[in-house]
Amino acid sequence: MRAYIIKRLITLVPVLFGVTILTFILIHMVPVDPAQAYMTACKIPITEKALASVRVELGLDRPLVEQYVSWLGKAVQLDFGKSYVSQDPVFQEITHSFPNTMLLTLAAFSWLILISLPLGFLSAVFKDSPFDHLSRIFTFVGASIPGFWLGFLLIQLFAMKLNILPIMGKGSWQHLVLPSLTLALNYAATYTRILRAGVLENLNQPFILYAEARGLKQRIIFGKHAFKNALLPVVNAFGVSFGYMLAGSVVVEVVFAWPGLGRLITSSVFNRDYPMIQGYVLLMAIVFVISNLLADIISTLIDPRIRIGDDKVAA
Amino acid sequence: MIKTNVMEIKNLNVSLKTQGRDVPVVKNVSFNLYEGKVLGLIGESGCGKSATCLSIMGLLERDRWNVAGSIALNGQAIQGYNQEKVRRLRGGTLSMIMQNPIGSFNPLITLGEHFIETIRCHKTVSKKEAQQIALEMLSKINLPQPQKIMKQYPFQLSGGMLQRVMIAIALFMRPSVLIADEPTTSLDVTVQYQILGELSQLRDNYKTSMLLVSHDLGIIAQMADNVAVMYGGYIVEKASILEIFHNTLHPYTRALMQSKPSFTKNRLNVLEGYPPSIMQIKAGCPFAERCSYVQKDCQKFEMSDYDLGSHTVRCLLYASAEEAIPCACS
Amino acid sequence: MIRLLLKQMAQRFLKRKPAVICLIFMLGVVLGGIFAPWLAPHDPTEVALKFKLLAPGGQFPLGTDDMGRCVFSRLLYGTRASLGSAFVVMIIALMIGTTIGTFSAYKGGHIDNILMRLCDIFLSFPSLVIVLVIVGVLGPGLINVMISMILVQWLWYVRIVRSLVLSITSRSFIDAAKVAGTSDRVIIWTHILPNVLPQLIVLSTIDLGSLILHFSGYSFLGLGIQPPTPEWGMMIENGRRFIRSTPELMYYPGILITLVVISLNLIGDALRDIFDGNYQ
Repeated sequence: MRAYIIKRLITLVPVLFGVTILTFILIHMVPVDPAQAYMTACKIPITEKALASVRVELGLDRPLVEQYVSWLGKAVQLDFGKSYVSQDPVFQEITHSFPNTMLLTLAAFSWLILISLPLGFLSAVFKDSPFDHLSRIFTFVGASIPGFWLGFLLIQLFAMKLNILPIMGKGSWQHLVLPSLTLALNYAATYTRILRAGVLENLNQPFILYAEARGLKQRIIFGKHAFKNALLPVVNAFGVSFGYMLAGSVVVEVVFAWPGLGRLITSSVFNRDYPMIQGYVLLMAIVFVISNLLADIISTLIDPRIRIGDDKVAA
Repeated sequence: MIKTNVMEIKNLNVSLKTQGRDVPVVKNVSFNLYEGKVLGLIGESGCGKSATCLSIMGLLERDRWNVAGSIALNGQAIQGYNQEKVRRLRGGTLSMIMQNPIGSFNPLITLGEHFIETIRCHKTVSKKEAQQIALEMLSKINLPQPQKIMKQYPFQLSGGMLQRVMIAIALFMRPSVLIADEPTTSLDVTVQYQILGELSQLRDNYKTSMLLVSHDLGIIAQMADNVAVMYGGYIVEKASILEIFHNTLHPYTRALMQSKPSFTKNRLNVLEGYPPSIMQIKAGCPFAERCSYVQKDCQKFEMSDYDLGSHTVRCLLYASAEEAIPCACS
Repeated sequence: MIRLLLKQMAQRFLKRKPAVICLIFMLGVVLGGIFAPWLAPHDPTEVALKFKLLAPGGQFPLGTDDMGRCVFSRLLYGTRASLGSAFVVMIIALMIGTTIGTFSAYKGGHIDNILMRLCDIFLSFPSLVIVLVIVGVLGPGLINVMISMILVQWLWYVRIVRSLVLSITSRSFIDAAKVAGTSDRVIIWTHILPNVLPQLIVLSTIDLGSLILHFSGYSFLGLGIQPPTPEWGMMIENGRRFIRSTPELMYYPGILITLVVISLNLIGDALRDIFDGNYQ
């Protein structure tokens, strides 16, 4: 197991290389001069002389390979340069807002599990009942509704009409409820649908027939046999979705004025704050590889076929 | 010898509900199971054997299947039981072993857990006690290292081993009736005979009566005391094992016997054609199309069982024979 | 033969009432977008502050926004940007993806390997990150968003088409055609593509829905279409400032997006069932 994790973490290295090189090339390929972008972002009037001095300052006059190597050398020491706009180090800006985004995503992830597991399971158990039809409508609408619009609807209902939750910003735990729910709902709808189908598919498996033939109680047949087996493929997908939710929080953060990474990156995008964009991409790549890895580890723990199979290979 | 009647099945009819109409799968099936005896149920695939087993176990979903007829277990009619009562019967007095041991165990759960959860659904015992019962049962059926098997997952064991575990699970409640639906079909031949040997030994020990379903005449010949031959949803011939082999009456049974390979035959007689699809319903004998003794009336009349004393057969050929024997038994 | 098949499929589709309703609705929306200049009562960008935030009725069927622009006209014209852009993105990505995917699966070798590695890297990222980066470098704007969406999307199709084609080339009738000396081009056009097409139609119908969702999200963030061109996602962004006084401004485009996406999903599901029915 440990060897497997280390092996997976090593594969992170070429991915990070690939991603940073691609972004680097992209930034330097486009017709817009980074120096110009820098000056626009800092609101320095653009003159030929100023441009030249900025180029030297940012190291843009050196060859591309040299620039990349020097960026990489600093990046290894967690120095990703300074934001064009705020002049603060990129690392500091990101570490400042990343925990907020993480918090939001974790809360949304809890919603996802809290909604989709019971709903998917119960709608499969009570197939074709009114409850199932309602949950079917939920999965259809939930998967088709634009997340940001849903956010406004929730604000209007819970914060304005019912006045039980704060509208936006960050503060108490109540501030977290609406944004995380908004972020989760699209995914919750999809997973409800997947889980329902999975449970129904498992109910047709021969081991369910045998479980019934052994006279097991319905509760055990559904809860232990059908549900656990349906959960296995879902757990793996959860890991991938966690990364997607983390990235998708951009829209939700804008809607709810949540001071996270998403808002940071959108303002960086509008200002062409290249060092920030570079840092963001790198962070996302790391988050993605790690969340996929975690998902694989968890599904390995659930599935004895992989767990024991691995041990045999190791021994 | 007085035979104790353990299970009595009368006029069992099973049909599949489809959109247009109901499709009969099992038609007017009646038979008895006696204490410590094996009834072999034989027939080609798709003739209603599995549906018969599942309907006895109450495992056919009620919204997709119609089940009619009377099923009595130890003198009590069980077909009217509610869900909970039927559940208590299953795995208790009425056990079943499935035809596909590898697919029948949940791949994510250890065999010990399979066993223990079954025990705890039938007996109010602690986990520890259940574990003890399970270990005892496993050692009774000659499984090596029961402790280890309890901790293993289904994919770690061979089909034969799994089948033995399944037998152990089926027998811990000392069931009156054991239904074995093609118990050895998916195993290789040497394992097949070991398992069959163990099954008959256990039947002797526990006095369990058994319904053994198979399409293999050899297995039936080795195991069964009585035989019922099924075709197209009907039991077409029913008699003791000796009667069936030495005084074969129904043309279908004869064809089955002839298509069994043997060292003394040079050429195998092949039974041409296929059993009728359950979707097509015709009047008369379902075997008429493939029968070499077919008469012009065969496809006209709804057949009935002709009772010839030690033998029951569903074929027009014996219509006059029954009249000749003035009700010898029944 | 083909005509008969199509007729059968049409009959089976007509049996599904919800899908038929969705199809009619979609046709209505698309026609509304195409004929917007004739149907719209007003110029969607015409600012008239004296008419601002009017309730529905009279001259303005759905009222006006904060700049006195006719909401109904803006919704009609918005179809062009919201639906049209997503459609164009899908068609281009689909064409590139199908061509390269078929080629990659049929020829195999190094190109196939490289493409698959590329897919692994790109597709492990959510499209939003890639779009943010590309727009961050190229700058906001409709064309840039569309380019970055195509860049993300075509690799999906490469992977899907490749696996579809591989599953077909492994079947015996392709071998038979090869043995009979049929040229690669003929095999691809007459045997492979017709077999891949039904699944691609289903897939792209459902994908179109998610592209519309994504696209409206980008517009909402201000990455895509720039004002004053009407677009549904941007209309929501615009309407949210009046969430207390006239929430209708925000309701109309949101409802429209949701209905369109639901319709596309339902139509896609119905098509899938119909095509599956044909295989059986």
